[in-house]
Amino acid sequence: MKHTPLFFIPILLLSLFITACDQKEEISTGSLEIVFKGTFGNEPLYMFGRSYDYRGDAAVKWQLFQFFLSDLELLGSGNAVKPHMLSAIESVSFGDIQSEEEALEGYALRFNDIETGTYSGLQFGLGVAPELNATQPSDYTPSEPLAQVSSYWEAASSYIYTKIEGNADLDNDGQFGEDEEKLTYHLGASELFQKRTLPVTIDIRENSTTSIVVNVDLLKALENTAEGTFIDFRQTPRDHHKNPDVYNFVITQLRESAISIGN
Amino acid sequence: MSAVLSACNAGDPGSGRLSDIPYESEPYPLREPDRFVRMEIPADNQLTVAGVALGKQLFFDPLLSADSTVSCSSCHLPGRAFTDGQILSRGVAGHRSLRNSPSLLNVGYQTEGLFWDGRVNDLEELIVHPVQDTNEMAGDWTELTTKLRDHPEYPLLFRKAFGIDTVAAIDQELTVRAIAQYLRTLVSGNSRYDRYKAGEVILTASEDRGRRIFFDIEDGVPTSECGHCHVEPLFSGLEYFNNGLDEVYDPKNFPDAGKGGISGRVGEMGSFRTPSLRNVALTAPYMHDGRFATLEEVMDHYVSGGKYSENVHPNVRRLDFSERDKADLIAFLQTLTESEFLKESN
Repeated sequence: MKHTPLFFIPILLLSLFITACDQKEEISTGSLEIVFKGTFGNEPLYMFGRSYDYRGDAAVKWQLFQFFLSDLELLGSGNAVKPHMLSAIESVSFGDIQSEEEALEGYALRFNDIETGTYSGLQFGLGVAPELNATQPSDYTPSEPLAQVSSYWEAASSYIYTKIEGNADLDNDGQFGEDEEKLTYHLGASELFQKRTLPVTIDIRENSTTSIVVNVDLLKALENTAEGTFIDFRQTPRDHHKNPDVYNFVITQLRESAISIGN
Repeated sequence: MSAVLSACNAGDPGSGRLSDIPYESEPYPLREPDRFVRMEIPADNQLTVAGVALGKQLFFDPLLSADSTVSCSSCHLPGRAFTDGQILSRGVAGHRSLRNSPSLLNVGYQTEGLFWDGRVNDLEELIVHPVQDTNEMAGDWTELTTKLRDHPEYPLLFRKAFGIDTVAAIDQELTVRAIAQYLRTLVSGNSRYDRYKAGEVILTASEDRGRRIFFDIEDGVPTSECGHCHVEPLFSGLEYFNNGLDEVYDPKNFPDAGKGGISGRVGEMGSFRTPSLRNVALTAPYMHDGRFATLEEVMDHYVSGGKYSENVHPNVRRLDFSERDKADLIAFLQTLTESEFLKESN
């Protein structure tokens, strides 16, 4: 009997070790809501019901504006707060925003279980990151963003990074979408994928939801006022990622100029 | 003596008790093409062999209509890719449906609403409508339930499919679940074109040129814009568009508001679900109102650029097509027919 305690010592130590390993550090978390608000210049952007002036010599009624964001990440602050990956892929679509009220409400994405702290920015890649762009809709369940067959180009083995569709009035006759007034830009390919960082202080507080607004100005995706360059609806009313002058311009403008932190 | 009577009653539909009849829960082996996004099947209505068999029997049974003259299959004939060849379908007492009968092939993959206008979200909900629609089967679910409970065969089939203990458990919910199970088995993904994609067959020169036109693949053939809405592998992006069928200057004036009639949204007036082009050679006449009798007429519509209204989808625009271009495109569309599957369904 006197050997019994010695026999139990290794078991006791092992069980203590296992118990210690099992005890996860309690991490306080909160949530983040990113509200994407579309505009066309200074006007709230919504589909179908409203015409927007374009460069003073055309008007357009939009039908669809959507894009993918990859590697959506909160940037950390020094050593205190580590970066937090929010999502590998999200689809932002203004297609169902069809009134001014809905435009002001915006398109919201919500993320939970984020470690509390003060983050220093939001980083994302415009489009579908190359490793995800090598997948196809059948790799996903229907509710996942990349299961959208209408956003996948099977012939090019690529997702469509952005879709911009609408009907224009180019001859000022009050009718939208007559011949050569139909606008479709379906753009994107892996070589155009790049990341963008938006510096912004984001406080994630325990058991509460922080909300930030991201403005998306479709007009800035189509024109660069500083350089005087723009998409000429009369010259190129459509592009299905065949014209580099169009797809390079729009993807770059969308990534670098159109998306900004709002109020 | 009482034990003998009890044993007899336990499996006797006439007594209302079904508990001695075996419940058959064997899963149905659904064969899904690799290229398809997996079908979402409700957790509470997983496919079983017995459930699918019951659903198939119900689908073909005119008992579901008010006067037992019209079944689901009256308007969805397997040999016509589950359409009926009519401009508008004939329902009970000679009534006509309000829209053209859509194909049910691959209906289990339609995740963005069902019917031409997207009014319901799942198959179980869809099946309720035609049974009670006065222009179609004109039935009454309460009366139908009574007919099924009193039927000499159905109580046994419901027991096998769902494990119900009594005849009284047969109801609308189980009936639509069974039919939904059958509809989810109507998978079409092995056409000549699919076999081409798999490297098993070679398309003819005309079919291949049509393929290149359809998908706007390269220069040297005209652009058709077809593949933007009729997206692979279902040949439908499952979206809703106004494809320029009617000239309308005020969105309130569409002869059929389509999705806009359900949502009330101006931009969706005159919009209809993009139908799949799989088996399209078998599904004439075409469009939600069956206005085009042939694929050639459909082609002429799209080549014309459609009629004016503000919300016509911008991909519907005038095309520069020759007669050869049209013929090649139709040759390609005919490669989407899956005749072997249709024979099996019959």
